[in-house]
Amino acid sequence: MRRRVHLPAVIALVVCLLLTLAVAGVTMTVRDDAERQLLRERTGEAAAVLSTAVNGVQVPLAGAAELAGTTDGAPAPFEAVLGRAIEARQFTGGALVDAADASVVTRVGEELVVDDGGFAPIVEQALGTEGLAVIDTLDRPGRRLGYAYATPPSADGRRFVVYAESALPEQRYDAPRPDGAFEELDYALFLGPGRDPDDLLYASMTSLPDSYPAVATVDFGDRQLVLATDTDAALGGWLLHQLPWALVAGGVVFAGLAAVVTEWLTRRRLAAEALARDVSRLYDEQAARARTLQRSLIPRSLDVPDGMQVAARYWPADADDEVGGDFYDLFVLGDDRWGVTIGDVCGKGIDAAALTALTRHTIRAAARHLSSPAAVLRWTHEAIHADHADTYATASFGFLSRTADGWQLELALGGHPPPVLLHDDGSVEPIGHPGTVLGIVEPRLTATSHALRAGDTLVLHTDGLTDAPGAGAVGADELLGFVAAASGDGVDALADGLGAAVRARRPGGTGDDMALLVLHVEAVADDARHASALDRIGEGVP
Amino acid sequence: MSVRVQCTPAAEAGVVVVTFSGDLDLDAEEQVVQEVARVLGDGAPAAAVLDLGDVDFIDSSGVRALLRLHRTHGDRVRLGTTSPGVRRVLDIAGITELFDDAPSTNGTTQDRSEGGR
Repeated sequence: MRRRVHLPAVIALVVCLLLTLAVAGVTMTVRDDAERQLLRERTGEAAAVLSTAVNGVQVPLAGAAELAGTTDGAPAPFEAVLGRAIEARQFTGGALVDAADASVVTRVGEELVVDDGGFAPIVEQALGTEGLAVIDTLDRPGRRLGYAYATPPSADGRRFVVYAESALPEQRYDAPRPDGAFEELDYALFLGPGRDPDDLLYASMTSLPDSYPAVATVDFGDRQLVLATDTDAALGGWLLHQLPWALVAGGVVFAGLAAVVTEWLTRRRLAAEALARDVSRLYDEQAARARTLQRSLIPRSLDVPDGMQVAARYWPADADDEVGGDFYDLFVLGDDRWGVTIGDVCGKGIDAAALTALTRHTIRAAARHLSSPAAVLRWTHEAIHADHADTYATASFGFLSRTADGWQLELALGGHPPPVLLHDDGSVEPIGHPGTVLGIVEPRLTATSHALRAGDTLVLHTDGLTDAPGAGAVGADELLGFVAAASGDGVDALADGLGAAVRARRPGGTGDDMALLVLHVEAVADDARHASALDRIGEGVP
Repeated sequence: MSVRVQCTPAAEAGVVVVTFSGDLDLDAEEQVVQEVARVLGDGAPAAAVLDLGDVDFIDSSGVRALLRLHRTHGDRVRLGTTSPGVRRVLDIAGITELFDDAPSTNGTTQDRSEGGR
C-alpha cells in the first residue's frame, strides 16, 4: 500500500506524456515545414546566382559572334575577344567555325574536347538554335562543357559559329561548396531539363539521392540548369531545430512532476479517508461501549417483592448514538423493606454513564445505612458534587415497607418528576414534594409518606416521557390521563401502553431516553394477608 | 443560536432584566451563564432578573445553567416570568424553590406557586 503508485498518478503521467508527444509531434511538423520553406528560398537564391553565371558565359560568346558576323569571319578580332575571356578564365578554349563546311577558321586556348568528333553536329545544333546552344560534352573526358553561338548571315550569306569550352570542377561528386548562396546546401547541378545522372554536371554530395526536397530551374541557352538541393543544416537556427526535443524534455519533467504531485494528493486523500474511517469506527466503538455500559446500569432483573407485580422499561433516544443517563432500581434491604429509585443524569455518553453508575450505587449504599429517603438523596448529592462538581442528577427515592394492608412508601424527590399513583378505583394523582436536583447546589429535600393499598399502582418515570420541545411536551394532566387510560391489564400492558401513548405524540422520534418503573400491589387473599401479618408478629415487628 | 438575549433596566433601581427567548438547551447554556455574568459585572447592578416568559423549551442543560448562576451569584440572580412549560420543569427540578429561598427584595414579577403536596 505504501510502496504502490496509485492509479491517478499513473493516469496523470500517461496523459502528460501523451500530450507532450502530441505537442512535440505538431512542433516537429511545423519545424520541418519551416525548414523546407527555408530550403526552397535558399535554393531560389542559389539559382539566381547560377543565372548570373550563365550570363557570364552567354555575354562574351554573343559578343564574339557579333564580331565574327560583322568582320566576315576575320580570325584576329575573334582571337582577341575570346583570348581576353580565356584570360579571365571564363573559357578554357574556343574556335571560330565556318558554318558552310564546319571547317575551323581559327582556334584559341587549350585543346578542345570536341576536336576529334568534328564540328558538324555542333554547327547543326547552333544553326538550329536562336541564341546560345549548349553542347553536351559530358560523356567526353576532360570535364568540359561546350557552348556554340551562330552569327546572323553576313552580306554575302556566309555564317559562322563561335564555339567555346569552359571547365567543370575536377570532381563530379563531392564538389566544393561555394560561399554565399550555396553555403550549408547539399546540391546537385544537372544539365536539364531532366535530372538524369548522366546529365550531372557536378554535385556536392558523394552520391545522388532518390529525391530532393527543393529543385530550381534556370534557363541555360537551349538547355536548362536544374539545381536540386538538400541540407543537413538547421536553416531556421538551432533553437527552432531543437524545439521539439526541448518540448519533449520539458514535457517529461512536467509529467513526472504531475505524477508526483498527483500521487502525493492521492495519498493525502486516502490518508484522510482512512482517518475518517478510523474516527467513525472509534466513534461507533465508543457508542457501543457506552450502550453496553448503559445496559449494565439498567438492572437485568429486579428484586420483586412477594405480592407485587413489577414492569420496567427503558427506551433509548431515537436517532441518537449516544446513551442517555436514565436509570432505575428496585432492591431488597431487609425483611419486607425495599428501596425503589428512578433517576436521570444530566448529559449523555460515557461521562453520563459514569455518573449514572455513581448515582445508582450511592443510592443503593446509602439506603442500607439511612432511614430517611431525603437523607439518602442528600448523601447522593454529596457524592455527585464531590465527583462531578459541574453536573447533576435527578432522582426519586423511596423506602417501601410492607404493612398489614399493603405497603407504605416514604418518598423524596431530588429534582425529579413526581411519580404517579394510580388507585384501584382508577383515580390518579402525582405524589411527592418537589426537591432540588442533586450535585450542584445544596438541595432542599422533603420526604412524604404514602400508603399503597391492594390494587394501587405506582408509576415512576423519567422526564423523557414529559419534556420535549414544542408539541412533543406532555403535560402533567395529560400524563395522568395516559396512565389512567393504560391501566387495567397488568403492569406490562400499562408500561407498554404508556410508552406507546407518549411516542405517538412524537412521530419524529424522542430526543431523550425514557425509563419507566411500574409497581402494582396485588389484591391478596385475606388469609394470605393474615398469614403475612402473623409472620410479622412472630418476628416481633409491630 | 437557539436563544436570544435582551437587557433592559427594571423599574427597581439597580436591577437589570435579562430577557431570554428561544430554547434554553445545550447550545445556549454557556451563552446564558456568560451573558448574566457580564450583566452583573458591568456597572455592578444589585441584581439581574431572568425573564424566561418567551423561552419555549428548557432541557437539563438549561437547568444546569440556572443552577450554575445560582451557585456563582446567589441572590443577585432572580427568576422573572416563566412560560408554563418552563415553569413546570423548574418546579420539578426544585429551581423555583431554590430561587425563592433567596432573601428577596420583592422586585420581581415572579409568579408564586405551591410546590407539590
